[in-house]
Parts: sequence; structure tokens; C-alpha cells
Amino acid sequence: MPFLRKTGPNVVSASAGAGLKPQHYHDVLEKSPESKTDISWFEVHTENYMGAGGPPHFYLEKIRQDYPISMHGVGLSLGSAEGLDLAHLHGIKAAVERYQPSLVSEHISWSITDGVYLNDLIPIPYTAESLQIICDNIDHMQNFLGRKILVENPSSYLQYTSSNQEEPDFINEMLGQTGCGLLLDVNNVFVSCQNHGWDAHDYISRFRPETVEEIHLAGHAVKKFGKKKILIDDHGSNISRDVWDLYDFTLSLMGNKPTLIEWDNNIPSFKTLEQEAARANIWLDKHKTILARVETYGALA
Amino acid sequence: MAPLLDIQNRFSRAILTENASNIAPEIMADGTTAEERHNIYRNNTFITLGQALTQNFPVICRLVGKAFFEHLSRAYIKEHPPTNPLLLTYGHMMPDFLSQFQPVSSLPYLADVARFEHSWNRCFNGPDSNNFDLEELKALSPEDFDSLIISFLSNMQLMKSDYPVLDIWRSNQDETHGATQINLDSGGCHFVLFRKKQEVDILNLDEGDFFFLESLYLGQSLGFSAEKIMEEYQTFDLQAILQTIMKNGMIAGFEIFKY
Repeated sequence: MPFLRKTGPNVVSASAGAGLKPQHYHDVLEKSPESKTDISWFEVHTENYMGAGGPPHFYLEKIRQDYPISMHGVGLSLGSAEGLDLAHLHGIKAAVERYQPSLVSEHISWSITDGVYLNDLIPIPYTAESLQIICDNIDHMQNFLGRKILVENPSSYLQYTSSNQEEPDFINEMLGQTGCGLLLDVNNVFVSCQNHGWDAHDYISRFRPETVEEIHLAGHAVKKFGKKKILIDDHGSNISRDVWDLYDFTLSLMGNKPTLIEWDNNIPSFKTLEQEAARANIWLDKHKTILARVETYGALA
Repeated sequence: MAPLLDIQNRFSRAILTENASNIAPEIMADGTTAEERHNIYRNNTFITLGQALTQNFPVICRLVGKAFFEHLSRAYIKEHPPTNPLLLTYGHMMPDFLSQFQPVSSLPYLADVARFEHSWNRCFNGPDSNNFDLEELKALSPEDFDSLIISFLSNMQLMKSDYPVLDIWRSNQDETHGATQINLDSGGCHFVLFRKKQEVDILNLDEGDFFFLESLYLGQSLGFSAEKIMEEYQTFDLQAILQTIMKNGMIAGFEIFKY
């Protein structure tokens, strides 16, 4: 049965959204759509809404009537050398047709090989072969769904000896070849740059503003391995001060973009999630004001 | 330079065998060791898949304790890693796995508790029910009833066990804190799980009622099923079980089988 929307805006705007968790279904539904809230859209993990039926669908259908959503897949494994799992692709298509999301995204990573799904977002080596493989898989997904997708830059804890391209260059090449958009995860940029000694500002500066269509913000953990400190992208805490600063920098270069607060572990109260969203909205307002002034001055000049 | 497919296969095997020596040459050590870096991915894999199993088998986790469940999950994941990204019902081999897992051989009922949890999960995430109008059935003539073939809600799950698994499951829900005493020799149980709206309903059945329902579920006609069960169970009450089936809204449709 196709899902019919009765009301509600359908487009995710350049404002703060939050990852939707079952723990918060009732909090979300208790708010009237007209009430002023700091969360204006929700993102779901596509796989959680690919079961045949049951309460997850019941709640998402209700929430979808009042909010635009983004569907963010974690399992398609765009970096798999063996190509895409067709059954999974069919499942994603069914979910996308049912919920009509404003944005559909996946990751620049792999998690499936030799018939096994590892449930982690593992980086790929940045080589000409990998580029060909991931571009073929993105083309396959976009053609199959009949729409543009966004792909997310990974957080990583290792680099391959065979990599011979820098990550942002590889991503830019991929965006150019496939026409997909970038989901710029600012926390992932921070985590990977810290872990590999890259320059986060330089990393972000390499992207063109029009390719960035969504931003992710999340918390990370710090672990020690011997003397080496490694940041782990666990989505289990508040967004760090460093990542907020990097977000400010990102907005100054890219302009305002839909910004998601991701919190997948140690799930907080809905209120805490709203507070994080409010912080993102403060930065977005600031950049909106700056932009308006720039335009005013431009008109006077 | 190794092809990507080869790197991915070695990476995956290194996780599942917990031995990174084959993949280490592909990874930069960069201030620590290649093995240590690969271990981060190994840990993430076991932790997140372990979380999926905890979510899908909460009562097993509670019965054996969190620490032992982690150990058990690790062994399960290595033997039966997921074959696709839909983890909502990951763990379908858990009953078989538990029945052969040496450390829990003194707890023979665990496999059936796992079977119950998996059935519950399949019912919870299974297809939603349609709205079947009972009036359609009531309009049938008496002679049609004999050759009536009933189809049930497609989320329905039938289960029987030699152990009181339903009591075990119920007394290990969050709100009961496992306080009830259960006599494992109290005998087995037969029941059916189904979901009309958002809640999974569980209905205890007599042995005769269970086999009657199972016969219908497998596509046998009402007349054939009733006759077979009546031969074996003298106290079988056809009217009563049909009332139960209809009252609980377990029917999704029907057809009349003509020879």
C-alpha cells in the first residue's frame, strides 16, 4: 500500500534535524507540528524501516505526516568490490517509495564481502580501482532508485598502504563522475584528521559549496592505544567544542545546509537532543545574518 | 598491489578468525601497529553485532547474564555472521547454536527460549494484518465449512516446547524482575503468537487446539483438520477453538476448496 502524505512540508531545509530513535517516538508525536521546535526534520537509518511491518512503520508513518525526513542507509556497502546486494537495493527502493524522503544517503565505505555483513563502516583504499568500483556502485544505486543520492565521508582508524590519493581528492573525483552529492560529516572530518594527522580546515576547503547538501554532527570518544590517542566515532555523547568550531568554519565556506544531530549510543533524553539542535540553529542563524549583511553591503556598493 | 576484493576478503576473515596477520601488510602502522588498527574494526563488529543479538534475545541475555552473553555472542557471530544488513531478525540460528554450545549444555530449555524470542521478533517485524470481515465467513453455507481453507495473519507464529518457555519468558520481562519460581518439570506448552496492531499477542493452547490450528495453518481444510483432531483428542471442542480464532482476529482470508 503506498504511503500517502496528508500534510507536512516535504523538503528538508537548511536547519537542524535529528536522528529518529524509537525511544523518542512518543516525545515527537506529543509535539504539535505547529509548535515551535528546534528540530524541523528527522533522519532515519533506512535498514530500521525495511522490516515487513510492525511498530517501526506505524510510528514513522505518523511522524512522516508532520515532518520531512531523510533516509540514511548504513548497510548497502557502496565500496564493495563484489558489487551491490540486489535484495538490499530492492528493500531500500521500497522504503524510499513508501516514505518519500527529501534526502537519501549512504556511506563511502564497505561492510559486505564474500556473503558476510560486518556491520561497520570500513574505509576503502584510495586508488583508481576503488574509484571505479565505488562510482559503478553509486551509478547502480542512483539508476535503480531513479534519484540523486548523497554519500558521506567516512571516519577512519586506519589507512591502507596501497592508497595513492588523498581522501578529499578521491571524493571530489567520485562526486564529479557520478553526480551524487556530499553528506559532509564534520565530526568524521575531525576524527579522521586527528587520527591521521591531516589538516581538517584544508580537508573541508577542498569541497565546492554546491556539492555539499547535508551536514552531520555527532559526538566521539577518545581511546588510547599505547601512546597513540585515537578518536572513535561512537555517536554516544555531546558534540565536542572542536567540532562546533569546525562546523562554524564549514558554514562560513559552504553556506547554510541541513544539519543533522546524530546520537546513536547512550541515547539521551529528547530534550538533550533538542538542545543540541538549538545550538546548531544558533550557528545557522549567525551565518544567515552574516550573509544578509554581506548582501546588503553588496547592494550598497 | 592487491585487488580490492582480495583486501576485503582478507580483512573480513581477519575479523572473524581474530587473526590480523594476513591483512597487516595492507595497513599502515602509523604510530601504533597495523594489528592494533585492524582490532578497532574487529571490536566494532563484535560490539555492534553483539548489541543486535542482545536486542533480539533479551531474555537469553538475562538468563545467562550480560558478561556470559557477550562471550556467547562472540562465538555465535564467528560461526554465523549476518549474511545481509537487515539485523532486525538477526540470529535465526541461535536455537541450534545454543543446543550445541557446550557451556550451556546443563540448560536444555535455552534453545527453546531462543526459538520463542526469534518467533516473537518475526511476529513483531512481520507483515501488518489486513482487515478481514468476519461477516464474509458467516455468510457461508454449512456444507461449505467442510472444505473451508483458512489463511491466517502472515505474522502468526505457532510454537510448542517440552519446557515451560512461556512462563520463563514472562517471568523475565523487565516489569517482573524474574521473581517467579518456575518448575522445569511442570511440562511443556503450546501457543500461538500473532499481531493485530502494535502489540504481539500470545495465546496458550491445549495440545488438541494447537494441532488443529497447525493443520489449518498448513493449508488443510476445516473438515479434514477437525476430523483428524477429534479422533485423537476426545475433549476437542471445535466450536470453542473456532470462536477463539475468530474472536482474536487471527484470520486473514479464506477459500473454499472444491474437489
